[in-house]
Amino acid sequence: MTISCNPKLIACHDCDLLQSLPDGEQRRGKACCARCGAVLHRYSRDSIDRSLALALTGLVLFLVSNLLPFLALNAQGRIQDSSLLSSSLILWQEGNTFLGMLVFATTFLFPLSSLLAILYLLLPLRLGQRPRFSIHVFRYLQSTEPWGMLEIFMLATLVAVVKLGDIATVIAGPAMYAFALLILVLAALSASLDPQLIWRRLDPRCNH
Amino acid sequence: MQPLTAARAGLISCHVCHALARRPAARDAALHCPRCGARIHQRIPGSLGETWAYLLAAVVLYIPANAYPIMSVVWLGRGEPATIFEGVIQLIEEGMWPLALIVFIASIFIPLLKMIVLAFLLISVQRRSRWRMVDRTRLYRMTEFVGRWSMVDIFVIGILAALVQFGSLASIEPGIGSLSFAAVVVLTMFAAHRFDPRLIWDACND
Repeated sequence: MTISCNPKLIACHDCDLLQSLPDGEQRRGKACCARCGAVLHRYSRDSIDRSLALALTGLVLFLVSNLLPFLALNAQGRIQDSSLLSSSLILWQEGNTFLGMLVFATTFLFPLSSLLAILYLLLPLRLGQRPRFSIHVFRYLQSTEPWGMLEIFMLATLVAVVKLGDIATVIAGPAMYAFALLILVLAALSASLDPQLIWRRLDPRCNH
Repeated sequence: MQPLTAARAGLISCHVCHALARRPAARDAALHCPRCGARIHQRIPGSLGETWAYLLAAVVLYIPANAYPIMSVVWLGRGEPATIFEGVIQLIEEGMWPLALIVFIASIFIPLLKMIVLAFLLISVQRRSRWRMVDRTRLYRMTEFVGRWSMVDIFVIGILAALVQFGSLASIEPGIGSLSFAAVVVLTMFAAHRFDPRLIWDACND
């Protein structure tokens, strides 16, 4: 089993070519597949510490964005408040169960659960422990990654605000600023997270 | 000389954690990743069939998604339903060019392109084509990356519906088209997920 335990050896997930990764400790940037150019590995310094800090920041910003008013509309003196969650609630209440669930899952459930999952995994790993069910949690985290769509919701907010700008005054609430910061923090988090490093730490075949 | 792939070396790479495992001698033995425990396969089983199924379902739903109104603006009790395309035209008429461009790219261009690209990739794999394999793999990565952005229109409808609630004066209601459109986005995401790009490269081994 020497070949399958060599952590440097990897098969490209897009073209199956076997290759070995360059030494990772001092490197920066990314390693790409020699044949098809797929990104095999992104190097990141102090991955666990940085990701932990960013995930904590992200959780705080997530709570702030959801608890405070997000947008308000002032149309001839009448003010309509809305929070981040109200778009999925409204869709749900008006009988669009599928749309409501989809918006709820992609803008609340998946982003929140992946932040919590990262904290659940990294906090014990930082302290040198391996949390319970860690492998299942990390598999869940990896498989739901494309379904967190907060950055797309941000673009949608800009589109909606410009669209309404003609007929009414749109007021950005405090949650909007927290939300904009959250998008940046999440982008930095996904850049600093090193899945290969975490998998190596969680590997039941090795004893750390 | 053929390049050394995991398949030729008798190894299987896990889809989830990319660990390598030795392929068992018995062909249909169920195998689990030694590191993360996920079921592992040399290639995604039934990849082409499942991708076709999701893709065809998306193509069928793409018709109502464009034919029916995606959202109606109800103004003083009178509804003004608009399809995706009419929405883009309205934005152009109101002079909101950048918005029209965003909605056009996210709601018309990307879904169409994604469905065409997936069909092209499926057909070229089934014909065991060796034509420009690097570019076809890039094409796949691009469609997989860009597909989620089509959700923009669905979110816009949600935000508008939450903000514009002035009883009988004005409100915004999602139409049947938005339901089909959301289904198209989800189905094409599933389709791209089930497609196994390594099949493109298996044509090298013939």
